[in-house]
Amino acid sequence: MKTTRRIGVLLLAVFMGFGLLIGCSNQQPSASETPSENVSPPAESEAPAEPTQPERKKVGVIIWSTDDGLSSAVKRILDYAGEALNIEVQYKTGDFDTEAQVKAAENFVAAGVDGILCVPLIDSGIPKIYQVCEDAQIPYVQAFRRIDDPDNAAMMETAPYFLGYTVENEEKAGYDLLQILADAGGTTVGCIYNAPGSSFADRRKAGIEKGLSEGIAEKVAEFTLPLSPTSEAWVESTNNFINTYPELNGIIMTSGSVGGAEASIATIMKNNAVGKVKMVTFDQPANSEEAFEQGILVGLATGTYTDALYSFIIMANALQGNPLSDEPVKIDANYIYIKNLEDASNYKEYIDGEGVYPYTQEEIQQMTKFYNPDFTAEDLQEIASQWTMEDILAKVK
Amino acid sequence: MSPKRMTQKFNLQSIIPFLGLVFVIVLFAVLTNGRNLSLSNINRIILQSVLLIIGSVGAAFTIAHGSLNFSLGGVLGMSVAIGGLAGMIHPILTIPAILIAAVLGEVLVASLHIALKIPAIIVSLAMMFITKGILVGITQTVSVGLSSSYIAWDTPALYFSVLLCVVVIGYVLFQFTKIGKYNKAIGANFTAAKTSGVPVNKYKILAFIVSGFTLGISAFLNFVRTGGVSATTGSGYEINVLIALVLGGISITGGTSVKIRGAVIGCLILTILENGLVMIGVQPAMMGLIKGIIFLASIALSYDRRNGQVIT
Repeated sequence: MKTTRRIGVLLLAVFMGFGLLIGCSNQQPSASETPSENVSPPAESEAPAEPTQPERKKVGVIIWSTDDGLSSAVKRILDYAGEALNIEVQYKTGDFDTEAQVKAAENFVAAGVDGILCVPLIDSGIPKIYQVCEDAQIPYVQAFRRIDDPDNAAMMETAPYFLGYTVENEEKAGYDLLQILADAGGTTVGCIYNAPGSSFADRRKAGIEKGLSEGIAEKVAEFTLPLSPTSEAWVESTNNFINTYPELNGIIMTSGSVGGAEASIATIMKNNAVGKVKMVTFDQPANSEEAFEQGILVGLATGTYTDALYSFIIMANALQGNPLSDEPVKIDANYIYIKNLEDASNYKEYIDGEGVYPYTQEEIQQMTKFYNPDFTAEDLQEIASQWTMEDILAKVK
Repeated sequence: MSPKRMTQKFNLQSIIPFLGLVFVIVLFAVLTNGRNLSLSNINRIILQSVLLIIGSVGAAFTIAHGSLNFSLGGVLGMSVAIGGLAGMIHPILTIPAILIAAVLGEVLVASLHIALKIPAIIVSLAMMFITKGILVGITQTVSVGLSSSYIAWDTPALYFSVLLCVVVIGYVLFQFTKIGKYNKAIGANFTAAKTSGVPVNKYKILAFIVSGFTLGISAFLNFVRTGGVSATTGSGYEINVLIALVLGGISITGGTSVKIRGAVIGCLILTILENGLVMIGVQPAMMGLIKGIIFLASIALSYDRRNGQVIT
């Protein structure tokens, strides 16, 4: 009887799992398998019609998450761009180990993707992930990361399937954010840094430390987050800063994701430090408008989700048979700085709110040679350079 | 329990992992229109499962006596970092440094568990934090990469041959030597094993040594496969090993249900599952849910409620 019950549990779980798989499967038939509807063979005397949209392609995206503020915005814009360009986008998340990222790339190849867009964890893993693409003869592009190691950079420069990358100047952003904090009165600061080993966070920290060494502000406290932090870590550090250092009037953090920024904002309020302790952060907390209104937040460096879009455009052009360049394309992307409530409101309304897209689908199509034969890599860089609050508001207002 | 019923129970528990393996293969063959059965994908699955199988074979020895070990990922990452540092002195030092670091890490877990009479699961959790701290400290200070001498080692032939050796030797040790037999006896009934004269502490330590050795091999292959080490190397490895062992029909309380073939089958099931879920385009949010459901169902079947102790 017990055995029968156990088998029943197993079968139930199996069928549940089976049902989930059927329901969650996103498998699309390949172009060769899909019967075309309403297609009649052209008459012999007629020239074949120009295709009205590019051939359907599939891109695999390897990214840390699709749930936090930045990554959900990335998913939103890539799905939107994929619709515009007839590209199916599939995601693999949660890989916090290079070996897992290599595995993700291999499984994407097995899934039949036509290209891979990756946010690599570490520099030394890039050649390994790329090698999977080269072995499968599919293009590879990076987002949010450059290649720091000179040997790897030199090797990738001539790699036949490497399309390039988009990246922000993280060090400058760290420096700028510290300046924003100091300008708002946060001159005696506590620093919340990410665990070392992540190149973007290390650069942001380097920029902040450079600003501190130049005397923009004085650091009185520092806290390093654990490797996979939860918001508890921000609560703990902010609490300690406020209660241990009465002279502290500013907090700067290299990341406010996974609810961290919201947690610090709430902690400042709970400690009745509103107006006394000001905060700046990367990423976009959900309650940023209220925090600006209360004077807790005085600066945000955010808006980098278009980084992935520009990399996606590089990939789309290659997949459509019109690569933007014979050499890897490197796009310098901007942060958007939010310094007050008006900026935050404009950001939510015009840049990164639900249903808000920075470019229309027609504009995205015009970033590809399929729709705009004159489009170049320099044009893409120009578009990326115009990603500032001022340029965006001038465009929409 | 009647002999007939015991036989039925034995046969059923033995074949369920096999059935599970056949099920996932057939399931994804249907869902991928057979693409998962291509030669290239089969090679891919075996290659992807190598690191996990090697670590799981060793972990089977410790789980046999009832020790849940959460230090595997941390020790793996730390070992890679130490091996990388040693390789900067001379490449020939990489492999011994990794193996020694991994074995010492596991021996420390065993020693503290025995000496302080703290459950192994607790000690291993503490070791997880310690080793991850060491890993972060090293990677923060020095950029550690794989020596160019080993780049050419990244071939399927190496992974497959190492895998074969580890599985065969692990099987022989587990089935035919005192290390395997006594650890299973300790897991089945600690008191009975002790009163029977089994040197419990000695064989527990030996189990952790074997686990450390296989972990070291897995760490080296991880280094070769990824070309470097970061603060997140080894992240989640212990969870994947645990899930794989459970999927292979191994009870987390240890005892005679622990079999090397269960470790191998469980790893293959997990790898085929991950491969298949990506192939059919399941969104990331659902992957964890599906894995969790399957893990729960597997543990419901394999958990030995008579012994019932997770912390030993």
